[in-house]
Amino acid sequence: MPYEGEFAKYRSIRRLVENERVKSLVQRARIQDNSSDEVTLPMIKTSDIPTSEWHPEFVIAIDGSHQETFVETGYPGAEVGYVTTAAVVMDMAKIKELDSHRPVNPKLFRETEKVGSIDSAFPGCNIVIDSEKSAKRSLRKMLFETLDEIRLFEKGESLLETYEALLEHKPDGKEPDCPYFEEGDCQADDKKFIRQKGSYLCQCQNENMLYSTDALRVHERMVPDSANGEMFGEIMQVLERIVVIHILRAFKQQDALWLLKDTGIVIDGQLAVFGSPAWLHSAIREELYLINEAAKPVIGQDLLIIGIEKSGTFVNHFEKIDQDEHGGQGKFPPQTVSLLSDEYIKKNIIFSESSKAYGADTHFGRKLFYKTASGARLVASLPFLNDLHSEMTSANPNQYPRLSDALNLLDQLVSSRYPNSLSPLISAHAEAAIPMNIGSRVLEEMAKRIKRERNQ
Amino acid sequence: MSNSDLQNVIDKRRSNRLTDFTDKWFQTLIQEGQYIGDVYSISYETARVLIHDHFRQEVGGIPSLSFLIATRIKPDQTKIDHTLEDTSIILLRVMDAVPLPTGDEAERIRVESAQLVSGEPSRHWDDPEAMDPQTSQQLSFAGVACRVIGTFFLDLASKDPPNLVPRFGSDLSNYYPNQGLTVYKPNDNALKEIVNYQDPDRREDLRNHTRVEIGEVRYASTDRSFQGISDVKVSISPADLLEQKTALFGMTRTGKSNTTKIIAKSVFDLRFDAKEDQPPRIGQIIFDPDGEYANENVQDKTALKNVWKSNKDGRPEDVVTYGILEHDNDPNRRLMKINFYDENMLQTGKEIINGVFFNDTSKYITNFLQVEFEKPIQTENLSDSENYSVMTRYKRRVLAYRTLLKKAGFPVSPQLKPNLTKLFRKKLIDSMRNVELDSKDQDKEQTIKAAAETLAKTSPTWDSLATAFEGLFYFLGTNQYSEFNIEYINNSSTGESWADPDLVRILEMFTFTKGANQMGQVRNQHTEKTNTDFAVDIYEELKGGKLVIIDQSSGEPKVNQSSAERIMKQIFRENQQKFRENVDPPDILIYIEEAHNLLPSGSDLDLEDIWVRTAKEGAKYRLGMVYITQEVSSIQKNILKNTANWFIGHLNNTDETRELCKFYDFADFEKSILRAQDRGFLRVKTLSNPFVVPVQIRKFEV
Repeated sequence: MPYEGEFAKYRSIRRLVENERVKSLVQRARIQDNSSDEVTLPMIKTSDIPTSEWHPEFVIAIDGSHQETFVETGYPGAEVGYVTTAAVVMDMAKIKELDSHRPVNPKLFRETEKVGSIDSAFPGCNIVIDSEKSAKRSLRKMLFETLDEIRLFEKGESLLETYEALLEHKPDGKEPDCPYFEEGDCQADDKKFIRQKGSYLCQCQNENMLYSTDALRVHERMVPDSANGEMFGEIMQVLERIVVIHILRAFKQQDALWLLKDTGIVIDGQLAVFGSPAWLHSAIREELYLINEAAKPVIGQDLLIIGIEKSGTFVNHFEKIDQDEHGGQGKFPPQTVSLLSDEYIKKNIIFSESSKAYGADTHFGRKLFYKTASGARLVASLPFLNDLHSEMTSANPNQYPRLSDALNLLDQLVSSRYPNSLSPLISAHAEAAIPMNIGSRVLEEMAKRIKRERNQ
Repeated sequence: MSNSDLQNVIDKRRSNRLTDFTDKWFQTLIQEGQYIGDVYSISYETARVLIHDHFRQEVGGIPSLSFLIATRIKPDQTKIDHTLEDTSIILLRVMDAVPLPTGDEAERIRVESAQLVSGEPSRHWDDPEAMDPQTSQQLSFAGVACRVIGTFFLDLASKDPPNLVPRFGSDLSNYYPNQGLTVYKPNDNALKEIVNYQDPDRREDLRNHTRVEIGEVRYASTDRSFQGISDVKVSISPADLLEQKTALFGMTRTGKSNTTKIIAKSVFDLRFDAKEDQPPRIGQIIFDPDGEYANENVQDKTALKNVWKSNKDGRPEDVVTYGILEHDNDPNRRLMKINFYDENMLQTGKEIINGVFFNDTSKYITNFLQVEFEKPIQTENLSDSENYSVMTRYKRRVLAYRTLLKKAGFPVSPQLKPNLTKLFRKKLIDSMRNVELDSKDQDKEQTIKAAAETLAKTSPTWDSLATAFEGLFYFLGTNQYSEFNIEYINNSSTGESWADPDLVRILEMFTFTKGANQMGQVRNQHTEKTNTDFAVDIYEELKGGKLVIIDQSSGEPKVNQSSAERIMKQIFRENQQKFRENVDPPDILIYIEEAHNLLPSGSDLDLEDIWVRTAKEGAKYRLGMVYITQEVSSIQKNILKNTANWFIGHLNNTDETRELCKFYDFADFEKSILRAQDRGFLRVKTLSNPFVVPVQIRKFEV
């Protein structure tokens, strides 16, 4: 790692370029072969699929953010992670009405957006809470408590209850190690974690406390003597996904599924869960099946949930294939959609010769490329709401729930503010994002204050 | 009821009286409907305001240089305590747009959106198809940079009964960078309060409190009716102009004359002020080089000279016009003429003539310029014969000078005949008769001898005297005169020569035809029919509060100039005299058109010059001066520095505006002054108003 302000010099680059092992690796790397077995990407004009007659009343957008900051505990590198998940409800009908008379009174316009956020803090390196014996134990406890404390709807369940509902869908299989195993504090024979709801004692004689949230295994990512940004990112990802299900379950529990008739949900990122808690993807898929099943008779159609990728391989690929032979943008005409099959993805985007479908272990939705009416390139995902949707060998419009409504909504939500962005996600991100400079200082001050109060 | 209860009642009523006034004052100045945005950055000098297009549109737009007000007080707030720090209003002036921190991003988005509609004239880049509602909403916020003009606040004017008075401080005494200030565009009533604000202390100092409307607030050349400020009247206190210097700058055809008329009328109308027991009658004099004040306007038939007609109590005799020549449309015009022969006018006439010779360096002319006519006074220090001698010499000079006037073509009254009794003694005449000169000077000898015969008469004709004085001058150069003069000196009680130097200087003029001819240039200022001085008449009229217009459009420029100087000298001298005698001099306002021709420039400080003196010392003698020009830079800095009232129209170059920017907050208006050529669009700063107000001066109509 460099010192602050220290930059690599050209000398080392030259050395690498001339290195035989590097040269060999580059030579051995397989080059994409477009000449044989070419899989073309079909472009479908929106006019060629059934026209959407749907008029969204509301859009719910969810986005998260995390920020790590160092605090003074007396131990070096002590770190706290702040994780925020914001949900924005946009009154699309009101926006349409107001927008017909620009410029719109900003006060009235603000009222078209209701924003809420879940703000939580988690221990990182060298943060030990209460009488816990390690930072890792502290993190597990905090994660459990946080989910237990938060409920977005007054009369609804907690995030923990939502999570535990998902936990029930967790497929049986090889269980992870007991969280105490690594620390040498587990006396069980197989050292395996036994999944249960709530908090409970380990069955071994040490009777350490276990939590239902241990199944997420995010604590396994914790590095005891270094920064844990990756782990906090994983927590954020889990929270974002749980919140979506939490909202949908709340609608169901409160007999308000009819509201989903005119509501679309937009999530920042892919419809997937990566890393240790990746098992959540199948639980979410199961839960979505159930909710959609319950909702369909009420709203007469599938749920509308869209995941939006702002960056990554798929975004880069879409940008690349939108270029003509001269490098100019615009090969894709506006209001054209391309549906991605497993074969196309493996051949053109994520090289793989595996027989397992792309995203089989991570995704609960499938991707499409859409060029909006205004020319924005969007990489979107629509959820699997039945088994046909998850059949990745083909990519047909009927494998994308409410495709035309989704594309219609994207046309309405696309923002001129940033390239290829959606307004509700901008709002949600604005609510969730913690500004780097002033934000860090505020968090540091807060941590110092808490420490002072405790010392008094 | 106990004593303390009574005290509580009194205290409560006092407090209510103050809060009622405070509440009403704020209600006049701020209204929710006039909200436009918030100050997001402030310093002692500048404020930056975040404004959304919606509010910009709601209030009819925000023109450049318009007034805005920023405050912590809420529009519906009541029971406001005037003593609190927040109970104030910061007056701002809109200077320009200022980019927000997100400006680059906004620019990028607009460019990209514009590219989307490029080539489609029927679409705009801000159309919903090209820009989504949220982005449109975000990008509708903009920053506006304002200058902090000062702070309005309330102060206790009297304790019992408790009364508050609005005060204005020309700065910002304190600010909190992290406290928001809500910004409003003042509505008509609020704007009226602001632009007509007078400092209470200065107002107290004014001898008259009458306010006179001069026009309406105007911010920009592009003056659109929807802006909601088209009907806000701006008033000035004419009393601000008294004893002060007032500058009226602007290019030709930008409304300077109209403004002069409006100002002059506002001062004139003070006499009709019903609120005063003895309304002031201010004497005003306008030097009118183009005759536009003295005569009716050809197009609209308006004329300042008819200003008295605007009020039912007006009297025609309160406006007097003067000119060198008569005017067909102005039968009552008084002519600026004197009787050059009149003994009391001799020196005055001589000064007018001196004006003609001002730049002539001929020896005989410079000699003649030294001649003065001051009638000798009999004094006890001298013997009778000495007094007689002094008087005789004076009479000789007067006779010679009158003869010179006649020779120069000045008509003489038939009643005035030459009287030579006891002025030329027999010995002199005999000596002249016996003069003998060389053969080459035979003409002169004949002239001298003929002169002797003329001078021997008691009452010759003026024409013969002219020749005789030429002969007398030749004689003064002969040996015969020397012999005569030696004998004369020997017998004289004073020991002086027969011919005193002034007589010689006058006589010399007879020998040069050019001298008399040049004197003839001011012949049209002479009349043999009067015995009074118009300068004295004008001063008396000004003293009586009349408006005097000097039409300088006809007659010789030199003559007009010398007349104007004489009038100014008379005014200055008389008021100065009264000041020295500890008598209040009358207030007189002097209007000088094309002032760059009269007032000194650069470091030129000729204190002999009456215009310079009036500009520099006039205030203490209660002489106010309105100087009008398009050349600011040509006016001496000291005069500019001592100018209290400013009326600034369009100027077309930065040399002029640069000078102007040194004063008050005119720098704010530099671009507008350079750009806006609209007639009557002026920026006005008067003594009792603490900041510059842009005004469309109303049209003078009488």
